Amino acid sequence: MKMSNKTLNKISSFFVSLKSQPMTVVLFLCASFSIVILFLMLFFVAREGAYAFTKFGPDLLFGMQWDLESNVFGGFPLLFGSLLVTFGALVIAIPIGVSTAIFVSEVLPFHLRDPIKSIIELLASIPSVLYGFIGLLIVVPLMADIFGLPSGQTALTASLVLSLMTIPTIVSVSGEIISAVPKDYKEAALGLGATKWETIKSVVLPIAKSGILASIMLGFGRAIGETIAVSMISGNQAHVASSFLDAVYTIPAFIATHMGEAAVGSLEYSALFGLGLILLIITFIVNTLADVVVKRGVQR
Amino acid sequence: MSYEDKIDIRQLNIWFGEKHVIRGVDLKIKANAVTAIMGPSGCGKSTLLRAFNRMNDVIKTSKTTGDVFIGEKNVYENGTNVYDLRRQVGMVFQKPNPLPKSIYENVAFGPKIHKMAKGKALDKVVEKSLRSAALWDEVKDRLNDSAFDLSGGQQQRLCIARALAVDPEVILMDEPCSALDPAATAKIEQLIRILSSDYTVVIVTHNMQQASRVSDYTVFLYLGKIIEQGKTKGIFENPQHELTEQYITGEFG
Repeated sequence: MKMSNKTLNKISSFFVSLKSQPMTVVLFLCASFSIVILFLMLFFVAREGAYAFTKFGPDLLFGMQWDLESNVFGGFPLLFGSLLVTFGALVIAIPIGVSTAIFVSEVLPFHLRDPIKSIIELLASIPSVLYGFIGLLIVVPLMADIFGLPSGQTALTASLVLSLMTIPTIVSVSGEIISAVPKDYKEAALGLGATKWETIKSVVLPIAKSGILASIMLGFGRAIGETIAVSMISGNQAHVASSFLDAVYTIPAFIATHMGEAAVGSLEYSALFGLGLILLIITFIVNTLADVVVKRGVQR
Repeated sequence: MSYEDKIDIRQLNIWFGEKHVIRGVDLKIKANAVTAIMGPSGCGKSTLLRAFNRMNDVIKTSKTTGDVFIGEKNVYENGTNVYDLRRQVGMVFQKPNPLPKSIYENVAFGPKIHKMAKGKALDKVVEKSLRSAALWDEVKDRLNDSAFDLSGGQQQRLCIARALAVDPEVILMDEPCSALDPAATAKIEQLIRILSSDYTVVIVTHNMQQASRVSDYTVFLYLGKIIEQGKTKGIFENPQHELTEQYITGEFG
């Protein structure tokens, strides 16, 4: 009883403090708004997908067949396609992105850093459909030529273009973090006679690592959620790809293509929402894992 | 240069961009003694100190003319190996700045990058350095803990141990106690006195009491120029220059 009184007091004094500070109210509402949006999104996607989930259970995730005529909807080929393409994109983008960030914020002469950073930030904000054009015009024919394929629309093509899209994000966010490492710590290593590279390796990267991981998470989010560019260049075949040189269909591309034709309230309609929910859950899991890794890193 | 002078600075000028920070400094620093460089904020004392191990090079707009001899060698000569110079001339900074590593790895870092020791020999170097920095007894059971777990004063002694581990001849200290409480400051000052029997120590401070407590020689720097230098006792008891007297009596600072 005592406890609940205390809690009650706390809550009421919180609202009293809100009353006395108009700016706090505004900020509080803004902050609540984004949380509310998140929960609404989760709620509606789950509600619309519930029908398909009760009908198929885990088969919505692991079933191999997506067949409108027999009303069977299994999303495994799509899930696999999304994960394959995203994995490929990150394998390319992480090493290039992080080393570019180090180069731009530590090695490049001072007067070149800001112009180069602006260009990279511009790359990060180009609409994705334009990356789709580049992919279609350059990467697709190139893939067909290099590997002698009848069609250059493959998982690898999508990974390559997605990596082009994620590298700027990784570079600009990691670059900011790396630039923010205090000079005092770099001087600690330099003062002992460390070279620039030894300083980067022993001081800059360990201090910046949680921020670098956050930039990779943003890149991951961009890659796994990318819809239009991927659907333009990945071949869009709902089968389990046998290799990176096979055509794939990703979850977002599939949803975008099929949503318009699905009758509202039908089983297919609900299954598409189910796929969306899976995408949402994957993003949550990866973000939470990253958070845990970062927190562990901070404690050490 | 007499054999007991360790550092000999001739006509040193340093600019940061357009700003002329050090203006024609001539200075000799005695071996195995503590020399304090004191002066008001912004007088260039840190810049002067950082000229000895060429840490000003890190600032891209800096320009240096003149000579700094350490022993027989002019460190501003073409072809000087700055990495080796900084091993030979160690530095302790204003704010304790341990590397993001364990206590052991902090001390081992220098010997490792200069390939001076490894394995058992490295363990010995680490222990010896920590002992010399009067830190061994406090950390010997927790060498693998993060250096950030230490108190501020312990971190600063760790930074001293780290500098000692690469077997330097000169130790530069840039206001090493300004971020510490009085008890930690007393420990560091005591340590500085002990270190001076084996090393040439140059300490920058804006704290006159500290200069008078720890140093054998004192240099008073004002607006990038040396106003007065000599034995610490003489400077404090009988300053020759009006500015020095005003500074010591606290008329400006």
